[in-house]
Amino acid sequence: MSFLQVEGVRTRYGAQEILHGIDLAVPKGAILALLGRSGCGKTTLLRLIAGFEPATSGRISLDGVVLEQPGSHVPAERRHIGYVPQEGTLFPHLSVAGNIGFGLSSAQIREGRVQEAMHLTGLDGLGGRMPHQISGGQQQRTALARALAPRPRLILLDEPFNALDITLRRSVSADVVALLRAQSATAILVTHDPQEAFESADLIAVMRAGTIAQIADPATLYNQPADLEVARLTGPVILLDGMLHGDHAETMLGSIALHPGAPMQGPAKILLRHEQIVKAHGEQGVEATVTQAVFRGDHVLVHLHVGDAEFEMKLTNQTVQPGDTLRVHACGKASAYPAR
Amino acid sequence: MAILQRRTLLAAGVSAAFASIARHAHAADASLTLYNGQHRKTTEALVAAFTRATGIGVITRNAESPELASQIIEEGARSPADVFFSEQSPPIASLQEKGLLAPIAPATLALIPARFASKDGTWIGTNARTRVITYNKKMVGAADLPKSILDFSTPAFAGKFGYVKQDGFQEQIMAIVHIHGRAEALQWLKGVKQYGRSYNGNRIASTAVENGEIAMALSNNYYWYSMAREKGAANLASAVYSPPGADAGNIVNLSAAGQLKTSRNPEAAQRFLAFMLSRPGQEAMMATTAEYPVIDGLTSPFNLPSMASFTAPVTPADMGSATQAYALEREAGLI
Amino acid sequence: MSSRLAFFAHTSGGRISRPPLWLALAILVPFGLVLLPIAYVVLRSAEAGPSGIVSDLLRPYTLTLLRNTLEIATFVPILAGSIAIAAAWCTERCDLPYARLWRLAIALPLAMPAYVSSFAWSSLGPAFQEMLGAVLILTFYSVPLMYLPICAALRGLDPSLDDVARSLGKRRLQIFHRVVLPQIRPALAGAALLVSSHMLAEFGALSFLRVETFTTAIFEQYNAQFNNRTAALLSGVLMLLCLPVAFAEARLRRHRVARMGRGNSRTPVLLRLGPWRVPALLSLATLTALSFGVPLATLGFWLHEGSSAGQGIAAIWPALLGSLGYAVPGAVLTTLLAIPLVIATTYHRGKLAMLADRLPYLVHGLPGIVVALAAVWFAIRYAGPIYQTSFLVLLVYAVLTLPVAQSSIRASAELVPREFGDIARSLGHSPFRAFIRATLPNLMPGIGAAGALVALWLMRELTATLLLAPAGTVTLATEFWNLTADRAYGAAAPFAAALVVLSGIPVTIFTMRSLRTDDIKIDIQ
Repeated sequence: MSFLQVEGVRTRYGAQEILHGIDLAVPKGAILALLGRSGCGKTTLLRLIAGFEPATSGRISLDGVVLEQPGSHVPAERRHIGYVPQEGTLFPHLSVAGNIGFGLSSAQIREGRVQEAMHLTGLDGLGGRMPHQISGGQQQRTALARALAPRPRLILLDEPFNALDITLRRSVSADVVALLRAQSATAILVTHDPQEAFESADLIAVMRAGTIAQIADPATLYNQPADLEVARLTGPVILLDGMLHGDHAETMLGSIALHPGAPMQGPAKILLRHEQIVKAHGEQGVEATVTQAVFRGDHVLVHLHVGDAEFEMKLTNQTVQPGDTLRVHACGKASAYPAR
Repeated sequence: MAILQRRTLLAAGVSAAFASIARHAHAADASLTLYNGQHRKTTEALVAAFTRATGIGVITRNAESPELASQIIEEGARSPADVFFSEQSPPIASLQEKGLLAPIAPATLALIPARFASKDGTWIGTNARTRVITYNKKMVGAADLPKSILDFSTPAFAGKFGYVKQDGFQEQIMAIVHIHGRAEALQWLKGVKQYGRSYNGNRIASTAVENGEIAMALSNNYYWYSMAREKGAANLASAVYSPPGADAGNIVNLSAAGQLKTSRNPEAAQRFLAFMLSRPGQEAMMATTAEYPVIDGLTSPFNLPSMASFTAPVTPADMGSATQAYALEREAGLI
Repeated sequence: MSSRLAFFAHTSGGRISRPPLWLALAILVPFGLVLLPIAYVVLRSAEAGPSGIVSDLLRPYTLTLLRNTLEIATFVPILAGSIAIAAAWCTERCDLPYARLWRLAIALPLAMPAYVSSFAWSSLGPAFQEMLGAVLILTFYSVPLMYLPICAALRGLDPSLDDVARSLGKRRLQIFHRVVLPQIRPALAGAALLVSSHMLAEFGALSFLRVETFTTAIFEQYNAQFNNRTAALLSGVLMLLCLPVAFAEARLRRHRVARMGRGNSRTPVLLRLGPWRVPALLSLATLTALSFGVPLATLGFWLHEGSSAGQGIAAIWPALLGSLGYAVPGAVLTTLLAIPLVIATTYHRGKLAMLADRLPYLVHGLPGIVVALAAVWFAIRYAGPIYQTSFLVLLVYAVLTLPVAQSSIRASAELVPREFGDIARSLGHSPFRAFIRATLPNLMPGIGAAGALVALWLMRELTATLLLAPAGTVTLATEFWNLTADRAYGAAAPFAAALVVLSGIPVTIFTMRSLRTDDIKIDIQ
């Protein structure tokens, strides 16, 4: 049995069912990302786990203790689950130290738990500042310190980096993950950003319309998405028509090896990622015409025509001009999906 | 579009509202301006009769008499008032003392007894009212009524009576000063403050007696008489009482009127004052209030006792603007 | 959207400049107007000389007035605030049935002038008179004045703060105490200060209820002595009492807690009342019955019963037009004068602007008669042609009600970033045009609310109208006063009823609007 176990959880607002039976298992010390578009129910699921609202049916247990089951609901304030809402949301009337000490007993504050949490999150010396006097990244770290200070059994982060600008977002998110890992904390991170999910999580659960479409480690999810929608949600895709022949498929780019577990024959859609299109050596692969080349510093993004189809590929250490021809092929393994 | 319509509507509303006050401002160009502190119903009846009789229009400003007196003093020479009709005599006497009133035509003064006018002939009494003690018949036996209003300053009456610091009270103080001297009056006021309960209007005090909130109240006569006419004297829990003899409780007060020196239409003002003392003028007023007429040969339609029993040896003119009464009230800590 | 703007407004504090010329000139008008009554009070008081001032004020009587005034001005906001918080909590944060209707029911007593409800209560018996009665009745009267801003503040809170507090192990009551209350405290204290200043100036109600305060004593002085010196001295003391109110209000706003981030639009999870549902409903029903039901029923009784009923009904229509004819232009003028004050202090800096913004709060606690007599004094001497014209009445209205408009407009202005004006200037507009084209349209919710509230206030105004309006002017308030003074309660009731109905319209619209959307942050008085 996993540390956090969610089984068959359903919930409704009025007549509308929002979650249609969610199953989820998170091992102790793991970071799980809940990835999905807005409105898919990921925040609702997080709030159910936190205990802010009761579920309509289903079971939630943490470390063997049942938090939620039909007829019994442990309220949020007794779950010892830390929560970092969107944008951190600090208490505006309390200082940084006041925010961090909010969930602590006075004995714990005397023990120096606030200073410890501030030190851990790199907020030393900022304890007396008010929330509007510190930067966005510092606000985020204060919110995390506040959630960590009481040493919760589980930490929930609800799109916590949304408000930050893109560069700050990457660095703060990396900081936070490093911190969570250092604490061996078990955490659930809600996000709509696949990059963030890949970088942060041990496990990613992709949510769609109140259900979990796939739960897997980041690499599996990226390379072997359960369906095309999950594929699109996790990054740009290239789809080719192909004929399956057991462990490989024949396509306009030639023969492409398939991931195991696709035992199909006949026509199918073959999924490739951009980086799988590479320049072929010699006479291998197929001929392609360059229609556009965009210089991007560390690489050149090349738009190609192969017959009627268009692809993009990344070229490093090379320059090409529109009108040039070159030969390309697909490397690595691909996944196959029913043609329609 | 919706916003545009809303703005148009708003603009239309605002301009209509401005137009309506502009109309009011225009209406102020009438021939006589009356500052009125007397009860409005009475004045309205009087003004209607006057306009019917003379064709002269009257624009009335209604407020409490002392406020209007203060206003006229502030306005000074620029006052738009032609005539001031004061519910009590002290406010108009204050204008007299500041020399703001014009003499009244001798023919008009001749219509009333001298004790009902100022000594210099600048204001006339137009209605008389008497000070009385209203009492609740269930709460006070006849034997327990005071022999004099001076008794109210004794502990025997603690918590049993109400008083009102306006509208007749100052005249009562002045009467005590006049009859018994300043020291006695101060003593009395201190007792009243200590033992009595202050009400904010004679009407409120009279109603409080009728409702049994308090046993007695010093008040003006006409509140009880108008109650008595509405409900029938027999159906009332309260009655009026006057102490025997020439007590300071038995005084006659006046509502009074005069013409401002600065009046732009002194002729119409004098006609108005004369009309107030005419038979139709008096009758119009008497029909609306349980006060006494000031001219001979008329009786109030209310069932009033004869004014002859109100024998305190003091006249409204003696009381003047009651400056001394206010000084005494201050000294006693009442105001 | 609105909270995003609030965020910007708070972060743009560093570059505040002096007001442009047009604005500096525009604030001189209200500034000058408000200075007049202050100058009048000071000059009149000075006539007494130092020894006169001492002997006039250092009397046991003054002490009694001070005690009564402070008691009313302290207990009423505290009690009303407590009731308003409980009511707002029920309607905003609990699963109260028919919450929308209750909101309206709690706000409706705004339409009931204090002198009408006091008249109604005092007619029920002596138990409702004097200090205890006055505190209770004025508390009921003041509840909506505090309820609406508290509701708005509750709605403005980010509900995820509650979630965070719960995840940190706090129970509902602790959350209320440690999270909600500190955040609504500025709104609460602002409303309490304004109720306090209303209480300082309250006359009609207290005179019905037989409580002597500085204001009733000032009226008494004007009624008693035909020299206005003592009244001016008492007014001076009253202004000193308003001083902390005026400046504490500004301090509160400076220390208003910044809301973090954009927040989210999620509505808070409503607390299940469960077994408390019936007690909550009963309490709110009692509140509504006491604050609105009893006065309304008394009015109904007088309408039906009064022996004099029917006499003045023909006068209702002109009085109604008179009320609108003064209240609406008065509200427009007051709002126009208030806009520059708010702009100058919200988007700019400067000592004069700050002073001009605060002085109206000082005068707001003065009874109308003081301001009216000041107007008589100045107009007679220096502006003869406008004496006893409607225009002078409107100017006095503005002096009396500027803070009502200022608070509402400021609530909007704080949500409109000054960058709007900067953008318009970068597109080639002059500062004035930039204000008209870019900033002003975004202030409209606050300006509309200000107009409605000032109109509501002015419809009840009595003293200034009586003393200053052209002779012959009638309004619902003056007719009601005239008839109650004439003991014709039955005849007075239709005017009071018309006043309540007329006031009910802006109150209903205002309540519906302000509680429907949290785009409009409201401060009301």
